[in-house]
Amino acid sequence: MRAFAALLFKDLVLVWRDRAGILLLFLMPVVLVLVITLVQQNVLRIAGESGARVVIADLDRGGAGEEMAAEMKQLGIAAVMAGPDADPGRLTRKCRAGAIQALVVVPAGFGRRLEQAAAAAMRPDGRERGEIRPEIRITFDPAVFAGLRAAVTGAVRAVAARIAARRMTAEFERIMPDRIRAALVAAVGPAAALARVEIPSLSRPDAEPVAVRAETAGGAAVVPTAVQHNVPAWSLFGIFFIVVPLAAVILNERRSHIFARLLASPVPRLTLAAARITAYALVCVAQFILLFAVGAWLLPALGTDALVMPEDVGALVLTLLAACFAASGYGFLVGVMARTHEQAAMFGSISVVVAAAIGGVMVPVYAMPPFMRALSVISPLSWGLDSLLALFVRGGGLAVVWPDLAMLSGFGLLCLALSWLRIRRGGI
Amino acid sequence: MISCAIMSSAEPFLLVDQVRYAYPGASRPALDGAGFAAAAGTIHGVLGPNGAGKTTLVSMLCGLILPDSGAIRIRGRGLTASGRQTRRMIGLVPQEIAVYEDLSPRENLELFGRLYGMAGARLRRRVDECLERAGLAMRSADRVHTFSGGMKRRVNLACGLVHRPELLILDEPTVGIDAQSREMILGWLAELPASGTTLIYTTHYMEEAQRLCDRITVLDRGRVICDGAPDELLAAGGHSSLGELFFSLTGRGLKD
Repeated sequence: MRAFAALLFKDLVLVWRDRAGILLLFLMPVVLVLVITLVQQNVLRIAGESGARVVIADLDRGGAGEEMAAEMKQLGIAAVMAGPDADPGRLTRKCRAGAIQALVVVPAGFGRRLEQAAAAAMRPDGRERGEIRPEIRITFDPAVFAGLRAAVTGAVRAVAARIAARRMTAEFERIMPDRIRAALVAAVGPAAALARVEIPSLSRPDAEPVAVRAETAGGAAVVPTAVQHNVPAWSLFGIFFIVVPLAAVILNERRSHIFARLLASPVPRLTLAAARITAYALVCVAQFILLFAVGAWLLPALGTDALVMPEDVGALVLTLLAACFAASGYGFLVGVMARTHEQAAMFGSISVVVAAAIGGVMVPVYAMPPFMRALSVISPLSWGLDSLLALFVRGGGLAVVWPDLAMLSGFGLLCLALSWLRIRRGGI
Repeated sequence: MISCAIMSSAEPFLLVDQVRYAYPGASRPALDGAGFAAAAGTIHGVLGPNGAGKTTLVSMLCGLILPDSGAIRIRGRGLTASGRQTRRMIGLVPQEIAVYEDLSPRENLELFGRLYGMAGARLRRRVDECLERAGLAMRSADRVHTFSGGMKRRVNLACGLVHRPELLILDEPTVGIDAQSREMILGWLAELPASGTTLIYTTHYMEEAQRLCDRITVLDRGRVICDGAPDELLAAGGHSSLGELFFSLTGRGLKD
């Protein structure tokens, strides 16, 4: 126990005195969480208060533009109305320059044509229906991705259809009593002209025949915002990045023969490994607390949502420990396999970045092509992230995440076993 | 093989008995039936050109690798990878500066002392003694990376001695240092047999071996080619110096 405490204290002192390592372990994940969360805040909120600028130029000035803006807001696209003297040509140029991401032009006479189209639709022969179909034009910034294009186009289509349907039902309500009365007069006689014909109002906004309700499977209350995804995901990345300083420490010890001195001491090798893993696990815990503080307090101060902690804190702690163990094991393996610092730094960092990429840290696994989705199951970061997302956004607990924890622990054990075999082969 | 001294019939303090070891994939064994004995409280030099098997022997004496065949016994007890009691008896001073350069000499000595079970006032006293003897008491709180090469070598030696080992294994402990530090280190080593410590001393410096060692083993290509007291070896071969004897045994051609 004395040796364990001495080794643990030594490792913590060495980490503390390694300023570059401290920056790598603490500042780098904080910067990554801040930058990527703030950058992705709007991308992941494509249906929310997106930073993408959607402008409606209402050249009709008959109220259809305001109606459209209000309805689009209900659909989650925050559009702004251009001024009354809006010049579509100038707005299109701004769109091409990237100042506006989507320009929705409601042409002059749109409302009148809409009413004409509604009236034409009510005619039994449907005459003129195609000729007077009103049109809305959407112009996109060339740099806008397909996701935003689809979201804006879909919203405009839906809103336009609703407005048109409302006009048609209003027209239907207006003309139908007269038509019915005329039909009655023709069939029954002039007295039928006095008949009172009432039809139910269909044009009220709340009269939509189909209600669409969106909900989350399992009833999880937490929406996977950029914060809710990025803080756990990049914290996990930070944990795995201990591979780089840990491998460097082990390589230093090997090259300076401190490693030989430690192995030659009467301290059991399990104690040597356990002390080092414990030291780096404590570093990871400190790192995680810092990143969670960033998610809970700093990011909201910068305008994002606040991180919502999972209910099963015990499962979260176990996930952290399993991830630390896996990362430490991998750091050991890189440290005993690498021949030079360059090898350790390059291989350690690149392998962690690749594992993070295929593990869903940067882009969610469900958004990857099928081949990459299949590949993601081999990444320890994927196991860790699955576990964290299960806890943070799916409302899961230990019963759900234990297979991932077992995989992480198994990976750590495998790495340590391979390191041990390498040490036993000699030449360390 | 030249062998001049006859060990007593009782088992010596250290017995290296026909050890053989081949690294995986190597074309020839690093140690090929090497054997020698060292008496308690003596300095035993192990000489040899590069590739002779000295470092492999040092690793084996520390229990870092186990022989494919043969045995190493210390005080009659076999050295195994998990033999904690035997390991407590051993101190290692590697050729490299095997100390944490971001720790102070005191912190390094306290760490290695604790790994060997020392604690409290006993540890503090011993650390102070070692720092004093190594001429580092005034710099005991400074980090090792601020030290000169000679000072680092002295810390390296002190870390191997802090737990008062019965067997001290030194792998070229004076490489690349100034004359003053070398004198200090050799003087310190020369004192140790008086307190019962046995030293296994590998070096390329023949004059150091001649000055310090009670007995010498010369290795070449994993085999012992000469073993005995320096004076007896020189007399038997008619050589005027250990360097001359060394070249006559191992040749002047490059070995690596």
